Amino acid sequence: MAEFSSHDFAALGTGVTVTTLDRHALDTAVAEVRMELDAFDRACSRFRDDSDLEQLNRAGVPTRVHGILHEALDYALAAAAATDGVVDPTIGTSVRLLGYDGDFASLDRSGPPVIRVERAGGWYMVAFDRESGVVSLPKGIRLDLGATAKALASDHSAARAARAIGGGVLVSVGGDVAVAGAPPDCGWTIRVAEHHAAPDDAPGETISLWQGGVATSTTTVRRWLRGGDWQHHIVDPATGHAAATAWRTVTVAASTCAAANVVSTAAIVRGPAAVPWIRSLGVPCRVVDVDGDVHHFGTWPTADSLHPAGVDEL
Amino acid sequence: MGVMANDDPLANRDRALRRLSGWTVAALGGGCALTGFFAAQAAAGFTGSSSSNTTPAAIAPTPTAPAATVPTQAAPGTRPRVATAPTTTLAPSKQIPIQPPQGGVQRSKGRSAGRSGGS
Repeated sequence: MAEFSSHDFAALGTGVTVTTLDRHALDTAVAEVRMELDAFDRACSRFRDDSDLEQLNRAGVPTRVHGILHEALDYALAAAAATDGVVDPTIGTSVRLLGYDGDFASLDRSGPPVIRVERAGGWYMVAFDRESGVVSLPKGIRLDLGATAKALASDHSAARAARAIGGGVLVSVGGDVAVAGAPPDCGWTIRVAEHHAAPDDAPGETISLWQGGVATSTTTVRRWLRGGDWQHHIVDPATGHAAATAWRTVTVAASTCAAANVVSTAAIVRGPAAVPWIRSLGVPCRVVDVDGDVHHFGTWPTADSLHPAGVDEL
Repeated sequence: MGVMANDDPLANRDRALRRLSGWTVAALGGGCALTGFFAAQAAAGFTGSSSSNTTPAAIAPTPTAPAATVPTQAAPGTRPRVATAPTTTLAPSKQIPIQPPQGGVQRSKGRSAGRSGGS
């Protein structure tokens, strides 16, 4: 079993873990990851008035974007195209109407009923000239890159840290895990559970990964009450409601963490209807349904004994 | 030199009728030409006009906001079909490679280097 060193800290409104094989390289890796995540926060946060994203959302006129926001928006629109709009960045208004209108740490976890919902404005309504970087958002459409930007940040951070230290790095941003650089011979051991901060003995599975990333989407953690009804952050773009699905937690491994997150988010929204698509992609996929039963699709290794994961309460 | 007058009333009548017929044909032809001209001018004044002699419009659309800009409110409990992208917007050309990780995934045990879960 490989030895490694880890450091935990908070960023992007969630917990971050940086792990290196060389303990002497950990500080450097952490510093690189912090800088990358800070750059993503300044570019893509919808909770900062000064972020590039919020400036774009407020602009009301064609606006030129660059750097991280350019890449994150490009990726988000491509994710929408790849999922036929199931993962759509134009849910900004929808998720706010459901009550998620500020940083989750300061969000009122119980409030009055949701009185209005709006389905996503439609990713295809966003005119984005990739060459010039000019974005035109139709009136009423607000972007929320939460479904893709965090995982993209994890990929970027791991790659940046690995370049800096010249060795293997694992970065977990709120449970979106990316690995880069030379992996341990036996792979990176990753605990998959309902909550990214669950201890190793919590219900779940442990896997080994050599390249790419692992992402978990769930309806059971980032959630809140409105009028006595549970709401969560995974919005069905077609309705504007929090996705109501037979699956509560989906974990996917892919060649990048961002790609894994696209699949896991789409699978939450679509539920069992996503199985043929997941199989066609060939990605390893683990599902916990609303009854707590665990299912495996694609190339996920089967377990001898499976433990239904518990639901994390507020 | 003067015009020779023809005293035959039938011949005079035939000449007058031929002149009148010529004027009628000329008036009808001119009317048709003017009608066609003004019809073409009117058609060109509207979008969507086409001509086999004109160059086709550029494929790339202009990045202007479409007319329907306000998201439609979904009726509670309904799940409208997800709309597909029309061809009149700037669709992203980037493709996301969604592939399994190299080396795949294997079951493991022991202390974890990282955790994947909801946040």
